[in-house]
Amino acid sequence: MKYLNRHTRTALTASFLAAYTSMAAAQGGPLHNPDAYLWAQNGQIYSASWNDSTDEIVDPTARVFGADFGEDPSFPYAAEEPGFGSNIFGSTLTVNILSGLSIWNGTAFQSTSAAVITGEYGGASGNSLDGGGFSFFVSPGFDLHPSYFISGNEGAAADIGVYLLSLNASAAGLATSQTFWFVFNLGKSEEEHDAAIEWANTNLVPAPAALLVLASGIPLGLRSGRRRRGG
Amino acid sequence: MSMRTARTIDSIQHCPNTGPTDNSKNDKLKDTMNMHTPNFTHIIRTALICAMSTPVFAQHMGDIGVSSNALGQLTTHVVTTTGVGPVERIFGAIFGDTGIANFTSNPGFDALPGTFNNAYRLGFNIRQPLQVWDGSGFTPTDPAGPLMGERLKISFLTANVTSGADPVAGFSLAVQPDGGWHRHFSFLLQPAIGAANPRAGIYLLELELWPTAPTLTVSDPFWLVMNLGSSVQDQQLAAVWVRDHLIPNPCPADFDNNGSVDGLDLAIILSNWGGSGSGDIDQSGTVDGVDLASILSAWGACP
Repeated sequence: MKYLNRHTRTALTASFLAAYTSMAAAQGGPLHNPDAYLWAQNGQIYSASWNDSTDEIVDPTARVFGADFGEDPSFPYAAEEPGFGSNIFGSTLTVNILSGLSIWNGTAFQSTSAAVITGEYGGASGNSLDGGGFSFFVSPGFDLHPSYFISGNEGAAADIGVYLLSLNASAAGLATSQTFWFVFNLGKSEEEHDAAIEWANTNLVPAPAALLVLASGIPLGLRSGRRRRGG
Repeated sequence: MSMRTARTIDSIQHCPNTGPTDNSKNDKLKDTMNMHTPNFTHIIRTALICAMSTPVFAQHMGDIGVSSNALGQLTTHVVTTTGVGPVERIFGAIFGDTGIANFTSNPGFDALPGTFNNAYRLGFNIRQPLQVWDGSGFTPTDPAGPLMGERLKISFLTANVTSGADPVAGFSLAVQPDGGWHRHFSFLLQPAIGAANPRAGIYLLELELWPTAPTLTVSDPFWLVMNLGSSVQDQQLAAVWVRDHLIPNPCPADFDNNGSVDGLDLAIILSNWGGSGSGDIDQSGTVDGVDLASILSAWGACP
């Protein structure tokens, strides 16, 4: 992996952010399905998003990620997106699922106890009711897809809706990331899903000015060494 | 040694972060590699070798690229940093590569966006019982029967199958909306009956991919050479064995392994005419007119 010096990184980061801003504007809305990318700087874990088709970081400070249950109709209440990438090589990262699930009411998210989302990888799991999580060792080329499941109370099918799951990431020797959110769509329109993602970005994530300061030191090297993804 | 083989050996020597090696085994590996056809390089392209030689298990370069050929047959490929590479049928895996014992979700399957019609699905079958490397070949995980020895559970979301005594039908997953098929199954090695844990070793899983699209056909078999706590060198030797014994030689008339069927190969036939050994393409025991006809029909560059 090639690492760039600080000045070069800063310059590239600025142009990268500019490109991202124009790309998002051109698309007229948030990207729906980037994976989460976990990276660290100065002892702190951050989340980013990256396009799994082009292997490019979409937003180096992303904290909201969209995904769809039932993308494969054989698994109507399950998903394996968002996946995770990371360049914190040699570390064991834990994705913690935070208690409390919310559902989109058309204008905002409100707490719900009528459904539970579980995330699972390699036999370990966490859920939106009890918390918990799963861990994984990060090596170059890291590419991991946990399984996510949604269920209603007492085994019933969950109601259609757009759900907000809160998570963070931790690792020994690093400060735990800020909360990031997965916005799962279960059977609602893409327009509603987009609106919910937009709301989360607007209301849960710090203002863009703060993001630019944070991102000024992102190691562009995080893109190196990753393979292309196809889906 | 062909140029391609030379590059393969070179890639072993220059893989980053290569861990400690057993020189005697490494020499044996190199000797084995030198005996191979140029096509052998496909196995051990940088992806596989570097993945297996790197202590941190840079496995993802070894993902299974998926596409189809001009005949509509599903094909498996090397995945490189730039996309789906050459056809490949042997892939590496390392249990525990994400820190979970007896488990891996690699290699994944990768088809580029736009490769397939998203109205259809791709599925897999387990073609053979799970086998384990004994140092010179693969044998059943338990002589008493494959249901007694280690078995492999393959799962994805709520679906799962486990290798058994016979071929096992797998399950299918939808082509993704963008026409790609990027999927990571979970592979969990299960212990033999009565054992607490699976044995360390190199395990062999034979798979095939099948389509639901009527215009596509089932892939050739392909293999996962899966390492649980054994050396990189043993895993490589096992991969070599698979290449030697399970994949038909696409160019059997290229006796000197120079990448083409030419006058040098014809000279070998003529020099051994009436005898046996090199030049006996059909393995009839005699180098004869049938072999001559074979070499003439294959004349030119190897496929």
